[in-house]
Amino acid sequence: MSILEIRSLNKTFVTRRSGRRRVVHAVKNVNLSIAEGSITGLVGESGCGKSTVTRLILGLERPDSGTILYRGRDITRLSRRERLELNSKIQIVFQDPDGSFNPKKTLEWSLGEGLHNLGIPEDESRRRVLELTERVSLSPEDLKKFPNQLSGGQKQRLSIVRALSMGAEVLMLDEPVSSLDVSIQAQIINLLASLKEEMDLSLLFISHDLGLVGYFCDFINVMYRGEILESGAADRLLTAPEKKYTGELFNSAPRLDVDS
Amino acid sequence: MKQTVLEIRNLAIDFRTRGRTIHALRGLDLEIRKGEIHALVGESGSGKSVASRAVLGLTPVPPGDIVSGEILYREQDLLKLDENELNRIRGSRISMIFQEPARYLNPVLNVGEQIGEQLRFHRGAGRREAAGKALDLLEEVELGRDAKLLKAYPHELSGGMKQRVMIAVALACDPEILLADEPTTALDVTVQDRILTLLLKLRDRYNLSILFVSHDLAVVQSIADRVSVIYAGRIRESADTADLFTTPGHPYTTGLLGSVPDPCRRGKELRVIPGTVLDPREEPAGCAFAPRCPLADRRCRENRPESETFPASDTAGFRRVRCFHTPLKSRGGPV
Repeated sequence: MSILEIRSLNKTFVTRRSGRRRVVHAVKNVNLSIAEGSITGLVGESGCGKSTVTRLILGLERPDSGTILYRGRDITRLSRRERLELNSKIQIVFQDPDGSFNPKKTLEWSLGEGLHNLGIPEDESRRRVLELTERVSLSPEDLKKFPNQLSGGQKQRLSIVRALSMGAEVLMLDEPVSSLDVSIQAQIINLLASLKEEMDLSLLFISHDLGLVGYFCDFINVMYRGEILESGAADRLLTAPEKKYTGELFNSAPRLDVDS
Repeated sequence: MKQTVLEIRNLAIDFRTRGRTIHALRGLDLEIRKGEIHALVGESGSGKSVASRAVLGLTPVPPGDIVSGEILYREQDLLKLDENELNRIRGSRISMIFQEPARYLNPVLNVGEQIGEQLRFHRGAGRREAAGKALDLLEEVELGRDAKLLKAYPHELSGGMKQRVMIAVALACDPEILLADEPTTALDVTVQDRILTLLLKLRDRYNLSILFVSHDLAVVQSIADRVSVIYAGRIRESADTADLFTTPGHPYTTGLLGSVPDPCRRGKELRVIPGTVLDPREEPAGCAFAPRCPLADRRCRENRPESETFPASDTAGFRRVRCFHTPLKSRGGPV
């Protein structure tokens, strides 16, 4: 059963360069489905349209055509009110945690903002944030700090707290660990894997790191120039890709060879 | 054993800003041999870039402060040379390439001028001679003998082409050592693959020694002959590539290898290194890795381990590890 299903989605952008009109087909007839409780990967090289897909799901862009179904209901044409309610169910964590927290506010403020907008009472909102903060192995004192007082890994944990405190069911992760060091990356990946089980989440995992996608995801979608070139179960895609590009993409990434 | 071409001994560098002192390197030892690709692997803030830059006297002083150490190249200490003497070595005997070629190529010089500049400065070549050699070099880095390309400016080239041009500039004067600081990190995987193949080819052809600075263990395994693992400004372990990846001697190396996600380990939890890197302002009495180490005991927290030498699987070689509890001790002990 799909919790989120994208059907024939199209999005073009019009740019003007030295007076000439150019149409960029950023998302071309994309079909993609996220099975409930799965980790679905979306991979591709820079500029292939991965992030535009997330923006369309969040309603930050309007598609030219196509539908996005959340639990069977089309969410591409919602009223403001409906969108606000839905946003708590579909949340995103970005690559650069520095860009997603207000540097002039404490983290407690930033984490409470979304809940406040949803009209959650203050004590309930504080309870949720504290509980999740401890779950991601940070202390309540960390919430009193400003973003520049925490490390990249700590900030990324709090980005996850913010998304989950809203009551997310679908969590989109746009390159969530690519700005972190390997040792910290592993901590975050393990954390995501256990949170997913505990909270029955469905994840859309966007990355250019093929080793990581192959390790973490159940299903993989390979995107190339705005189109989904190939999709399928991770095992199959890694061992027997149908498209030449998929094979090249996976084979050109050096893979660590260790016994364990 | 091949001859050593560059040796860094006990290098310590601090950076002082607004009353704070950051210990970037705390006594680094590194030996690079003739024709070897030597990888220096570490996470951000470990000091790997500071070390590679120090070789060419690129440490900004102040705020940098070279507290101790020597960098030996052909029986001279590079740290004692003045700017003129260094300029004769930079780009000529030892050259360097960087992660972002766009930042290190001169945007107002065309490709031919950038390559020619080296030859004219170091070799006193004339314009025509320099242009001819530049074409040879473009062919060498697999961009083809394309005279039109000599007239191109950096912004007209793709990321991979810029990196190749930077390699051509670095090789112009036939250096003995190439310092490469994360040369493929900013590139898409398919392009990275081709640049790595090129570096291997150039090493073979010129018996070039390469110091390959990287954070990516998979890339390092695919290219290096020898690997040194740096943590908090010191080398923790140094070994031939095969030995390091099959029998890591330092718990930090073991931790790093366990943290790399691999499709073959699907469904298994990644083994993580708990905690975070040492605050570069701190000066712990014991081993800098002890707070995150599964093997650490009181001795590790109170005393700093020295680097010890162990036998390598290649009987002529050796490996070094800085750890009281290295698993290598139980298999034969130090030599």
